Amino acid sequence: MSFTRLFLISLIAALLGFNGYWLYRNRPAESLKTIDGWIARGNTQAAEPALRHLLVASPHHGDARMRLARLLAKRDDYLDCARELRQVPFWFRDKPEALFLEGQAYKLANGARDAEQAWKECALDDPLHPKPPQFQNGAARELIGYYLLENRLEEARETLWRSHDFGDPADRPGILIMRMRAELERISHEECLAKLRKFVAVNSEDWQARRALAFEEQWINNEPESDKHIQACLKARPDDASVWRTYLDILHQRGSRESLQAAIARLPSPAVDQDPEIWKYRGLAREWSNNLEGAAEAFRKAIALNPLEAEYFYKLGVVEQRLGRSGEAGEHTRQSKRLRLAFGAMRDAYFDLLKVAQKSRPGTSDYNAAVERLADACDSLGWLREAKAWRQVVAQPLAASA
Amino acid sequence: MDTIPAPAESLMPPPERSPKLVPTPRQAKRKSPSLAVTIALVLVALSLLAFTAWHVTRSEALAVALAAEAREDFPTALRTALDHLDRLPWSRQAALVAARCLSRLDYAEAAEPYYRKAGKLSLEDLHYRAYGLVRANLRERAIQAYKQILMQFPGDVTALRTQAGVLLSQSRFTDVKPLAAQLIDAPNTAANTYAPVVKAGRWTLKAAPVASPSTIGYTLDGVVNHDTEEFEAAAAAFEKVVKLDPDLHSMPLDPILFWSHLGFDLLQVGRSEDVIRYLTKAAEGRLDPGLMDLLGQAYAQQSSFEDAERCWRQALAWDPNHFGATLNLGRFELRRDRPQEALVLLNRAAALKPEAYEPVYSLSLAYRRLGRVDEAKKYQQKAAEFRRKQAPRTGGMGAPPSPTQPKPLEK
Repeated sequence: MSFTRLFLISLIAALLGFNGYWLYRNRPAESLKTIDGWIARGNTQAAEPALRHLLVASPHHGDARMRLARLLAKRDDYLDCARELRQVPFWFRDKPEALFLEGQAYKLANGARDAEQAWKECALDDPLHPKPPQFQNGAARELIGYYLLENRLEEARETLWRSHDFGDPADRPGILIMRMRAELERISHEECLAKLRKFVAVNSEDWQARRALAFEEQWINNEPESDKHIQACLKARPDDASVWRTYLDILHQRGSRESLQAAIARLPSPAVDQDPEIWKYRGLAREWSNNLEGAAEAFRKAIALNPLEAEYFYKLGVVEQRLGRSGEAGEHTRQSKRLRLAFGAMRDAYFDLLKVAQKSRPGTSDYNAAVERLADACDSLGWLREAKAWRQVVAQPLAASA
Repeated sequence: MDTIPAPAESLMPPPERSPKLVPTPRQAKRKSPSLAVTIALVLVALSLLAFTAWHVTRSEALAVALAAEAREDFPTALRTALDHLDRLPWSRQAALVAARCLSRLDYAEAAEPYYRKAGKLSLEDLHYRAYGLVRANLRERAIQAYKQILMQFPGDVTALRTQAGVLLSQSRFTDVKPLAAQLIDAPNTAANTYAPVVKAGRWTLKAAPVASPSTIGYTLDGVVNHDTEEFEAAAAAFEKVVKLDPDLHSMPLDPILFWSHLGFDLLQVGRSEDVIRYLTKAAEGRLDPGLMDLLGQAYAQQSSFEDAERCWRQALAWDPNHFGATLNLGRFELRRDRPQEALVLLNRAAALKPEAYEPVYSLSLAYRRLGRVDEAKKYQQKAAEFRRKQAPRTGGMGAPPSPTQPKPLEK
């Protein structure tokens, strides 16, 4: 048999085979109704391949994707579940739910960064495609949890206020309670450590988790691990102010003045110049090297960036005292004391409100009085937005209690 | 060492070359079927290749997409159009269906690559694209899209009208004027337009013939003049609309807004009689407190105070929180020296619009009338403060007299 004939026969055989495969691949898919019936009867063995087959024929089928994701979640395959949910088309009716669930699936698989990405998308406002509040608010709540875990207070505040301003008024007391908790309570170091270790194990390039883990490792005096993580973060994100702040926190916690001063000399200005904590550390370093004028300037910059932090006023007062400006020193020390007292009063008012909220509902006189006390405390602390928001809760008792 | 051929061999004659083998007829007969088989195999292979190409690219999704689009099930249409495009990425028709569906699902940005893929677009498709951009608040790109339509279809009424609407939303009045003029100069015959229709939260464009394109032009001209406080020109343009299209079928504004604009502009130029003429008819069966308030102001300008009061009270009966009617009735009570009654109304007006200058100014007058000088002073100061903060709206009831304003109510 000649080569040509052999080639032609092989080609024909291959084409026949391919067409046969193609026919099989494109065999009619089961309808979603049939598949739903199987799922309802617990016949996932039949449902899953049927859904996969349907998705081969119609990869943009949002309903089928969501069902397959749920099946995968049922058998604890969270990563594949999240991947399926990611593929739900952006224009699909239930995309907000898909995004929320995707975040949850990644959370269960300890993929913090991917979970954050999904929830961020879900929490975004889109006036042309309003999202069901349960998913949008749910995503915002989950995000806040992550931010607090990773000590990202600024982002937590931003997300809280966005949920407050655009969310359902009935949810506002709960959101404001979260706002207070973000300032007054901290997740235990043990819990942070356990979770952050899992996040970093899953994704070593989750820099926010790694940065927070570096701090937590230092907290339990595990210096080698802490160093490993923070150095990796500094290498990957050399201009990130939050990484430098954590690095300085770690060095300060170690009480290593030389290392802290050396780190401050390496700070990438101006990338980190909008961070009041970094200015505080600059002030400390200058104070240690007897550059008192420079230290005072640094503490003043910290105050300019965050005028509600008692510690900055106190440190400025101490430096001014050493500079012989006792008048200004006294003024700043008094302001520091005033802020500390106001903070204490706010904390007391907050815990009072929690106690009252267990017994009375929004709209009752007890509740309103407790809210008013908390709003006053917020006012004296300079938290004007919080004070206004709490007063609105009293002004709209029906909405709040709905 | 060289090998020397054996003498016997070298003496032998060279062997004769064997003659070329020519197939015998029998052999030729045997060869032809093998060629035929090869040819047949080639043909089979080619047919199979063609069949495979057809098989791989065969898709019924486009038909499903078109049917779904026709019944306005845009998500299904989009899904199946995208499925079709996965198989036949060069399909312009599927790209067009996907683009139109994305526009109508309010994903104008995502629709753009599909419009590009679809090639030359029809007028209707161009409108889907442009209106999608308008809804997505991509106003500059929407304006460009409408300009593109007008380059291909000069004088297209929908493009002129919608582009003018977008420009008005940006307060680009000078850019609206030429569009209005183009519409005014359009032949006053029926024109085909596309109007957006919202059904079950989704929009689509439907053909909507317009009897008089000039009406749209005059309306736009009126709105521009109204917004730029050229009241006389605005009133003239709106009156042209009434003349051309008495039932306001072609007029693109909400009829109540149209009559409010016309009534307000006529009031500003002191043509209260015309306001009464137009609005009495327009207000019939509409139960609109705003129109009734304007009618009251017109009667007040005519010194028909009883009619004015009746109108304001009617407006308040329809909407007890109507700011204009509350304020005007309060001021009316003040004019007829009933400061106590005026106080109630003016305080309510001040509560309805805490940042408004007019009720505060009138309250200062009412308190002075009642001899409560301290309160009068307090409100006077407040009014002065408000006035500094905001320029008072020309022509408001509490505004200081101006050359274009009608004379104030007299007792």
